[in-house]
Amino acid sequence: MNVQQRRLAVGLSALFLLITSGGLLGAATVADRLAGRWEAEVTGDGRTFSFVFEFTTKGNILTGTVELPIQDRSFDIRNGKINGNGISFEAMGLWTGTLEGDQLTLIRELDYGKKQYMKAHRKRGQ
Amino acid sequence: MASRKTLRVRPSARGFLLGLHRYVGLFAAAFLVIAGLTGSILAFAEDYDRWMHPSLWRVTPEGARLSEQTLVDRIRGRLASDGSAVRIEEIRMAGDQSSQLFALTDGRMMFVNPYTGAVLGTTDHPSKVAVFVGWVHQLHVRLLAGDWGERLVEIATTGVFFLVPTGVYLWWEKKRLTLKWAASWRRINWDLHNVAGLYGSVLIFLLAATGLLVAFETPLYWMARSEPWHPEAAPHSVPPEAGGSDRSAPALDALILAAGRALPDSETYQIQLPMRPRSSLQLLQRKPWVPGHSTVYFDRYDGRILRVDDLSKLPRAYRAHFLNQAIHMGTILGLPSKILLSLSSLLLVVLVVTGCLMWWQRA
Repeated sequence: MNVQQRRLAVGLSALFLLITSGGLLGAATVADRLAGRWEAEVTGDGRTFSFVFEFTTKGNILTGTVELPIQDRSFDIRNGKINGNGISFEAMGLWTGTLEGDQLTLIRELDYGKKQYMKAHRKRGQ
Repeated sequence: MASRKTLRVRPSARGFLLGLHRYVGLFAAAFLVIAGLTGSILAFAEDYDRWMHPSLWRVTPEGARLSEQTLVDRIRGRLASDGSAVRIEEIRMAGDQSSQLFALTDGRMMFVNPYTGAVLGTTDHPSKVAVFVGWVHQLHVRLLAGDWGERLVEIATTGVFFLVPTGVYLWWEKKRLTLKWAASWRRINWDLHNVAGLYGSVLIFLLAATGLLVAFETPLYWMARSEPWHPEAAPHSVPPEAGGSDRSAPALDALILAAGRALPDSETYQIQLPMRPRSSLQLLQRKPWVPGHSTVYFDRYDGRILRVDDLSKLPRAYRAHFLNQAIHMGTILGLPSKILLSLSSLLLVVLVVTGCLMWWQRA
């Protein structure tokens, strides 16, 4: 391997490391940004009410709880996943969501197929 | 002169309405067949599991029922003896010949005979029937094709608003009320389309309208001249002073009686047990023939009523939601309305098939 080839190999390795570490950092950033308490208001079924989410993240795994203050009930998140800036989990229905900047858009699909769309914001003091 | 003018105008209006009826019908045909078939199945969505697994759902009354508190204590004892930290989250009650369902915190469902306290079975996942019904529901609502499927279903359903009035207008010319069986198959098909269309028109229109209002509730709020209900957070129980105990916690049966007094003519059909020290105990009450439920919140420690959400006093938009859903799902009058709804959905299929045959033989 001559000097030029060696430089090219080092350069390509550095580029590869930069891209992969950037990707890992990006994924960690989404997970970090998701962690904490969020609140979303939704209108449906003749009423307007809120959900409170307590998200805990570890890599691409999402855990925590979904709270329904109008019933004073809390449900554990099951099968929570982070995929890029998208999330999905189960708790009182099937949830999917997208984190864009500080805006978390969530869709809740109920057992009977109906969907509820909502935008979540960080709960005050978080 | 006036009659000649009428003759000139009417055929063109009829032609336009016939064209509208025909092409809207052809566009929506496949979707309406799916909506009709799935709708006729979904009319009994709540019942299939009961029919398929009677040993879990049905009980034979044997003397008096055990008290609710006895049942809860027995199930709690059974869970504790398994060394499990699982708790009862919710109790669902039904008629005299039905088992009681105990929803557990680990997602399992326990079926209990309320007369003997015997556990009839425990399920930890939806039955095959429930999974099938869920699949049919997805087909009904979105053709198993996500948001695109949902939009297509909504557009096709909107087509019914054109199909029914134009169909009634077209029927008016011959006013066919019965089938003429001793005729060619084309004539029978034509008669069938007319007769089924006439008898099914009101219910099919109602199904389409209530279906769209299930998907888009805002017009329902406008019709009810009311804003959606903004319920307050559930009230909290007050834990006893440090060192005190909740041994004096009231029996569930006393709370059921108290809820009945707070909301006369209502009966308890669901109990939501408190999951946290400050949670309230909630009894869901319903009245016969009234869609929706009221809620009575109790202090879990002393049995005080903390709040009553009386359905009759809640915003009309909230009540309209339950009414609309009950009409669309056929639950409003129990089994008779489910049968009527199922038959109306099948009439929709008959209309599409006979309509397509009319177009095909004409083409």
